[in-house]
Amino acid sequence: MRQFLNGLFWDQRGRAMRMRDELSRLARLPTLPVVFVEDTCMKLDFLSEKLDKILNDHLQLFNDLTSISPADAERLYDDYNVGQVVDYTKFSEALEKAEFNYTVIRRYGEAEAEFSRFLARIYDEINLTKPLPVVSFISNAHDYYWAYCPQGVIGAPIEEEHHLLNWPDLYHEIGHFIFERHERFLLGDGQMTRLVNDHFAPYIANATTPEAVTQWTDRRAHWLEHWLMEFSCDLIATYLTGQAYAWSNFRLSSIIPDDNSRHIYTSQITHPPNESRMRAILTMLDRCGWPENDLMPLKKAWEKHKLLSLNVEPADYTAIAPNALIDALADFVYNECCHEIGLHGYHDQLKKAAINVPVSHLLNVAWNQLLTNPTGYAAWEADQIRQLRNDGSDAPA
Amino acid sequence: MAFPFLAMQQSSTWANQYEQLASATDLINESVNIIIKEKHVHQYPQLSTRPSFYLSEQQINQARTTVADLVSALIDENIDEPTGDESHVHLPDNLLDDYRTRLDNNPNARERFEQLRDTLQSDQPVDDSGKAALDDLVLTLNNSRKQIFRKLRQYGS
Repeated sequence: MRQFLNGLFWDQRGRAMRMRDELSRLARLPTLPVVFVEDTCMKLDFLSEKLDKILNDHLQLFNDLTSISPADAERLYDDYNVGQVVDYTKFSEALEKAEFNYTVIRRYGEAEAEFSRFLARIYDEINLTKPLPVVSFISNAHDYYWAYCPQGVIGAPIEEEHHLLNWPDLYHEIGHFIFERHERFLLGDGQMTRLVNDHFAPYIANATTPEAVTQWTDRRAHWLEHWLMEFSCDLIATYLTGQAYAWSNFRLSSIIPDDNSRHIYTSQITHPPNESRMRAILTMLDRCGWPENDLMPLKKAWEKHKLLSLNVEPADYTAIAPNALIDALADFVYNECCHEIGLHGYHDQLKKAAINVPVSHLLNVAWNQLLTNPTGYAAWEADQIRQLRNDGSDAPA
Repeated sequence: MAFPFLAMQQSSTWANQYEQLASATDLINESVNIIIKEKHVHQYPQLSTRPSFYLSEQQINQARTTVADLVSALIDENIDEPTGDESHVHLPDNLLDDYRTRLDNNPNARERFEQLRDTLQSDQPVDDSGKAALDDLVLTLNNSRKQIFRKLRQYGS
């Protein structure tokens, strides 16, 4: 056991040092922030120093125990195994965090740089303060878009710099960074937490079996720990991109997941059902003053989608994702956040646009183009991306 | 952009809990190592002259107090965690409540912890049963930290 654990620490040290050496050698593109690379180097240096100390302490400890006898040393050393396994686990977490940053840096290339320039332009258009998150294409189609706020990274699927239709989801990820800064006011300074607790309290109190109590308690926890955030990011993305975000959510809702029963009504721990997300989106479109006529094609198609045989509403669904909570959240996000923070919503962006069309508008045009001229869409999209690249006023700060 | 206020939020709460637990795990792990070394010196007095086993009375007393205080707080909800001293472990309230509930439901574990507390407070070296309770303590803190680490990694996707 001693040799095994000792070997594990040496392995960790070797991995940390190799990554650190690679980072010293690596050429860096100008859009990759220096501070991100420096922070990663510091993490790895710190980890290596800690591992050196641990390895020296362990060696000394074993040598000291050997002064009794080699056999006793092996036996007594086992008393420290649990502590060493705990240390190894802790260092694994530190290594995992450093490896994440390292992967983002190693894979950072021209595609990420180009997408960063698009992201910088979006930040300017929506009036959001920089610094920009680091863009990474280490994601794949399954992982889709994601935001990792603690490290300041936005992930997008590979090839995304060539396609427009999913970019509304980029605004959802930007929403996570906005949420991180402004959660308190987006959630009505504690009022949403109170509303969620009040909503679930009678269901928990009236549950007749321990399983039912756990089920309702878990549902409340999903809302408080994840869903309030995800709904908020949907509402922010809708505020920023308008109807394009609704079509983007519709597209995602059209993919049948592994568990294909009731799929638009399926709750996940981290994400609310797609049906409820569409309700939130439509509520925000209404708050933003989108004309009913403009929304008719979307609403009609969505209503038909809801009626498909694979979408069956569960019995307790209205209690899981109630309109009252969604409406209240939409009010807070619209009134408290979007106005107080000073984000430029979709219509503001159109009004303030000087020379170039805002990206958010381009996304709405893209969805309209797809719906009215699908055969010519690919060529049209390629042309729009070329124009975006050539706009020139989009260098990140 | 108008609002400089940084809100207290779920990710910050977890990040703070993670830091608290990482510090707590380190402090307890370090203290447990000292207590085990004391046990070994008690069995093999010649070890006391070896560099890894140079332990001052103060180090030993502090390690025993650190662990005993945490164990006392876990087994008796009327005892508050000591505050304002770096040698004491501070756990998030919700985790402390969780541990207490778990011990309420596990009389054997409670008994082991009570014996451990008594041993540590009576300045006796820990025996093998005490060693098992120390391992439990370290692993429990480690598992809580790991759970929050996973939550933080998943958050915001």
